[in-house]
Amino acid sequence: MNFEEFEKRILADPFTTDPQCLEQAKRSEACARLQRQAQALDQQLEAIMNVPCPPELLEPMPDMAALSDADLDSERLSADDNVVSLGSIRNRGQSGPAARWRVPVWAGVAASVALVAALFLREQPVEPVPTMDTGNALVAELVEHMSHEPYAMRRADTAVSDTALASVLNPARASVDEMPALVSYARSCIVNGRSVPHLVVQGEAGPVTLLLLPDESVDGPISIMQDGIEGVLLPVGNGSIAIMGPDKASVEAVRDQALAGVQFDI
Amino acid sequence: MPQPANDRARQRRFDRLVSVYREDMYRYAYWLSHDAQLAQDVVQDAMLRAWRSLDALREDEAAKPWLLTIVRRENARFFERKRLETVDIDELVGAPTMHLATEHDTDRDDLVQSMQTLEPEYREPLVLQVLLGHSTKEIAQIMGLSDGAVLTRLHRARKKLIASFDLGDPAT
Repeated sequence: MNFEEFEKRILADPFTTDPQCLEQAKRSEACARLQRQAQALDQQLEAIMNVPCPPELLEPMPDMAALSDADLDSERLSADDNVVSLGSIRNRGQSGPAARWRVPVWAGVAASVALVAALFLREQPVEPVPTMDTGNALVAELVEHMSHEPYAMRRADTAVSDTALASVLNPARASVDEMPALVSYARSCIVNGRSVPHLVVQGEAGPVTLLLLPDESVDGPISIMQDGIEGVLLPVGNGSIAIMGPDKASVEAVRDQALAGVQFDI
Repeated sequence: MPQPANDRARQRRFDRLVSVYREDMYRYAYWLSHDAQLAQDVVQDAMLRAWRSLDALREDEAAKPWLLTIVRRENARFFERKRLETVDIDELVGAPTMHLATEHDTDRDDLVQSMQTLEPEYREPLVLQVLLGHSTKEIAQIMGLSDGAVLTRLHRARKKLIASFDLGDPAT
């Protein structure tokens, strides 16, 4: 591969795991330099793209079901700027929304009981029981989800803010006492029909995905080996946590600490 | 009047999906228009449209690209409907932004400016990849392009940004 071809590929995806590109970066200092430049650029880009969302959009949703299509149409047509705002709908006396969005779970809810994973896990076998690759529907869902956000799985040295992390953990009733490594990615995602925190931590052996699943209980550890992804699904309280990476070493590097730090409030 | 059970279930589904992805919807809309107020209006409109066509979404796992596609179409409709006047690029670049930077950072300011002046066809796939984490295939679906066209645009987008910073030629 010459420099031009490398440039074409690396500028299309600076965090590519294409073996040819990785090999080329090892062979050529110019290619390695370009890769570093492109990766640094992406980290800066992500930081500036992460503009804060206006508080109005983060308010609980109005009662959409109480509004007929006719209501929406008439309001849309009557508005001077052709845009009907959710705020205006809310002001029409519609009932409010699910209060769960406002519950400050990050700090701990007084009425809730925190199940500390570290305590729970003392009673659990940590070594996973190998399973058939396709034998578990949840595992298939987890791996499928990984394929939707491949760009999250990249090496990075910029941490997401505490606020961003809390905004992802809170709705899932999850908290983390101490992260095993720098958290470079935090998003809420839909997995198996539920909203769950999707985190990427930068472990010593590379980036690792943590999917915190407060509503997915498993009887015991389940190993994950599918589509080039290795990992483990482990029980935590009444839920579970999936730890996935490109290889076993990267997963093991963060597994124990991740488990000890994660807790779900019930 | 009490809601029928199916309406309540529909509302719950809508709340769940939109609450997860509304920040992504807003950020995507913001970088499509780089106008905070317009982005907010586009997202609100997109939410209404999503509510009305929620039954067309068969799998919740596909909600993110589905919602982003709605935002994209709403943004286009908005510009078409409003027949927005051309904005002077100097005025736009000089306008206050809502970025998270709390201290003066020249490199960061320069990058914001470069992003704002980058042509939309290059800026959009970059946002979908870098910020929203989508694969080439998903970006292609959202933007209605081939995979190859997406890769070409991503390559050119970064090349333009690197050139704008005058980082030097890595080949030398």
